[in-house]
Amino acid sequence: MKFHSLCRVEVGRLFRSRVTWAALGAAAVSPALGFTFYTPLSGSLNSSYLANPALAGSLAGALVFALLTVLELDRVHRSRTDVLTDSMISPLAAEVSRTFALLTAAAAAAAMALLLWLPSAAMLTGVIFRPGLYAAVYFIVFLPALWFAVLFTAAAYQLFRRLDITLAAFAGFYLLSLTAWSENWLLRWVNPAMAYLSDDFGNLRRLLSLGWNRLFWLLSLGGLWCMCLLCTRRYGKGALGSLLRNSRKIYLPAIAAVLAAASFLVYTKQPFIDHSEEIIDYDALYDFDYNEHVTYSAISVDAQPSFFPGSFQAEAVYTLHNDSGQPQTISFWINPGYTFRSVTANGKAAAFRDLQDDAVNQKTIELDLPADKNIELVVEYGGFPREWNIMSLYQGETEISHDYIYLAHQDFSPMPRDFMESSGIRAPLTARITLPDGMRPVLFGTGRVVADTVGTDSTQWVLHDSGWSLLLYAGDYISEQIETAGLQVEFFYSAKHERIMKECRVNETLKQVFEYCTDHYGPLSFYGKDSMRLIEIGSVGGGYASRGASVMGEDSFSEAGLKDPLKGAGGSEVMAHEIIHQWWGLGNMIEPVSEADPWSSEGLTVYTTYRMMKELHGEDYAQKYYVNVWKANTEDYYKDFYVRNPQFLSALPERYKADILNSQSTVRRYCEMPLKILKAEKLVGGEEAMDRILSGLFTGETNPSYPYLTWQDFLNACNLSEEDLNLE
Amino acid sequence: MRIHLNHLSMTYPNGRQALKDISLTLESPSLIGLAGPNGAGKTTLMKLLSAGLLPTDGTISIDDVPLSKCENRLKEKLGYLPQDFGLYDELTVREFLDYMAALKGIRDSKPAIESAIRAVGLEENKKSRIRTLSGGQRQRVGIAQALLGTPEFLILDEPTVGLDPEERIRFRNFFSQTAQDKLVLLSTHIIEDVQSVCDRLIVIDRGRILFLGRPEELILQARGHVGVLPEQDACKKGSALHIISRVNTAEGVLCRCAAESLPQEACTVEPTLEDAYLYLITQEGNTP
Repeated sequence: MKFHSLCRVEVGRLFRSRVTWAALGAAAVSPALGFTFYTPLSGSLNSSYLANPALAGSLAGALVFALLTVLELDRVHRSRTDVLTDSMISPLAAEVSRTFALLTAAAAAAAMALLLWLPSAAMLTGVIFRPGLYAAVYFIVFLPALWFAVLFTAAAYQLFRRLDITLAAFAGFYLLSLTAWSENWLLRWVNPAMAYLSDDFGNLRRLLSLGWNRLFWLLSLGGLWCMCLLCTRRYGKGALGSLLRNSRKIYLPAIAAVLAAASFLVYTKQPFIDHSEEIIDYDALYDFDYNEHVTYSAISVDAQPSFFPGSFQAEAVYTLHNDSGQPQTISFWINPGYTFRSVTANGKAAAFRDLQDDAVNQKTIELDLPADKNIELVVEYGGFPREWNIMSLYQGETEISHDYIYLAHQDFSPMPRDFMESSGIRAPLTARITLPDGMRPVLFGTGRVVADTVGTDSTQWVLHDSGWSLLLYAGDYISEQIETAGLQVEFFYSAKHERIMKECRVNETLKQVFEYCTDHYGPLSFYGKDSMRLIEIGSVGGGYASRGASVMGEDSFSEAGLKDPLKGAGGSEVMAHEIIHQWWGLGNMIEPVSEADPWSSEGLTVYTTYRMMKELHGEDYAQKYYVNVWKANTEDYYKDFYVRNPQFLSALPERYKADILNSQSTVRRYCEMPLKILKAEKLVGGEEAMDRILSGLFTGETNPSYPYLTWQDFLNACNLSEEDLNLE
Repeated sequence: MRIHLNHLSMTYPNGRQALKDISLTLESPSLIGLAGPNGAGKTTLMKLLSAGLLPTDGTISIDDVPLSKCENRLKEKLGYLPQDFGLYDELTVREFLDYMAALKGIRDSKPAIESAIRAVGLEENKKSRIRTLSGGQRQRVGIAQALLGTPEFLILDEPTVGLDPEERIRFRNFFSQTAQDKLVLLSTHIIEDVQSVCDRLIVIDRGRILFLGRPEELILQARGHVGVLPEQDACKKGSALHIISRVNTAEGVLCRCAAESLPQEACTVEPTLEDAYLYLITQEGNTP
């Protein structure tokens, strides 16, 4: 009998069982848990309504299919149906067909889940819903988890031929993924590392990384399953006897060995994460001598990104000056995923060496220069950009796709490591990059972009910046420009957010915040000379600022985030809150303290938002939507059983404890602290006095080695003690 | 089809020797009965013939090809009813036979299935789920699956277990008809079945063949060794006399006995095949 016919027959039989349909149903509905019980991701609609259900479905579906597999395989032997089937076909073929049928059932469960949750996902994510991403998440996260459960359980059962031992082995395998392997992005098979799923920008890199994880496990478990298949009992022999007998068919152990070797290669040769040391010796990293004879005066880059699978090829030309009259050796830092393909100096090949010394997501490449005084150094380089290994669980920031590009410094071009710019000038860095229509580049800092030539479906852009590197963002950006506080403020955000931004009156809000905060606290330290650039980026969790630009994670502008009543009464007020963070949180960093402490950038930001709204809408409005909300939440907080009896908290399971602590921390930061500042405001003599204090704190010098504003700094500036601000 | 067993021995991993140096040839068409006490090695022999076990010594060849080289070909030609087997309870009779027909690689399975269902008399139950069938009906499903695809070689291990007497006779006759053009190996404890239908009989005990030949030849061997005598006389004679049956008569209880040499008071009778079988396995040296 041909193998495909055998599999078809076995699939048909499996699907006639009510137990199979019960398992399919349970696995298909299991993503529901991702809406309520298991919500590890937040910050975007795709995280909440695509990733969380798929992850929850993986956890529950894997259990369901492991159980189905072991029951299905065990009943065949327990009921002695195998006595009949083995007289007709080889026991190996029977075992293969049974596993194939179970894998098919898992695929059917994934397809059912995909269809079942499609309407809700489309409805909940609205305009940002992309069917391709939705399907990719289910097929990369959910389906493989079911397959891996089937393969592992089938392998364990083939080996032990005992239901109880097989289930115990699976439980161990499952728990390893949740515990001991939880810090290793490649080993997490049932709960793959996915920190975030972008709404506005690309997710290609995240999906590729997940795909690599799935490939590793598919090969590993495929190899394990093949090896255990050899233990399929036949001729009345035990596991070892059957293994020896079945191994005579040499192709089976050969396939197992090939799969095991391939999985080893996939594990060790993964292209996503660099090999930086876990403990970084910064002294050693920067302990090198600068070459005083070599300088550069210009860099130009011709970039050719490949949007799938997200690799980068480019040619960089460095204008160098060698005043020694001798050959010199210089070095560059480059992304560890890149290689130099060729280097020429004044048209002649120059020798180069890749030191493979990955550290902080860069590696060193040394090259030899001729003795010429002026050198045009042409470097052809490229590869797949790796991310820093300490961020292995949060991959996806660096991206090259049709939706988004983020390339920073050494990801874009080799950075001069041990030679400097020619004295007195800031070397121009010019780059050319061709992007598809609808994609617009934005440079972090003061650099500018110019559309050079426009093709039929793409545009070549020229990027003008300066220095030794650049930070490039590209996406479906649109921008708002306002003049305020003596600045030209330019705000770049995804076109997918256009409706929300308009609803939140983004122009007006930007103007109000910049005017209010600059007036009350002072200008931002990272203002450009006469401009300021705000950029929405495809990540979560705050942002960073420098050289006239500031980036903000897309979660700051998500539809769900803009409805947070703790941040403001409406969308535009929440947006104001997020922009005020430029002053509190970025402009002046707040000491990160324990969860139990209310002191945070949120408290100062909420207080400033309240003050602004009071000025704009009057005292009654501000009292109703801010102060009363803080008071109500804080009163509830002080009445909370676990706040009054924290000793009972330690008796709770970690998961519940974490939820309660998180909820308490939110109230402390968003409600208790602004109330304390409000109380301080009264004690120091009113709003103007508090504004002077906050302005002093904002513009005051902080310790450069520890640039954090502390609670004690605040109390000292107010000349108050902690007890003075007690609210109870 | 010609199956040759050459000095076949089988010892299980626990050390129990189930078959000892067995050599015989089975040729189609014939219906061969396989008899022997429990643990004699019948099921082991059948498993070896169906490639479910590997002999520890000796060889099996099918049409002069070693079984190790034609296992798949044997499975294509084989219909096997094991003594102890399970069915997929969630399937209907028809679905189950469809599944088994597909495993056997029968292309146009519908007529084969209908024919098998008719042969075992399950027409009325063909749409019933197997979980709803009685023990006898399940046994008939087992027989039906063995008959699928007109196999050249049928191995039937206790096929009539669980069947009522009427069904047993029907199947006995059916097997006899089936053996017109096939090789059928029928294992049974019911010697009457063998006598009715088998061309040849193999009696094995403790892994050895005690008899191989026509049933009449076994009867001939027992002639003069089976007799009838009163119970009190039979009981006096001790272990040398093997009581086959007791019958209540007007003169009291009479015992039908078998022995190498019957006592003078015994009235010699014409042995049946069952007498001959019991005489054979209880002869000195063969007693378990």
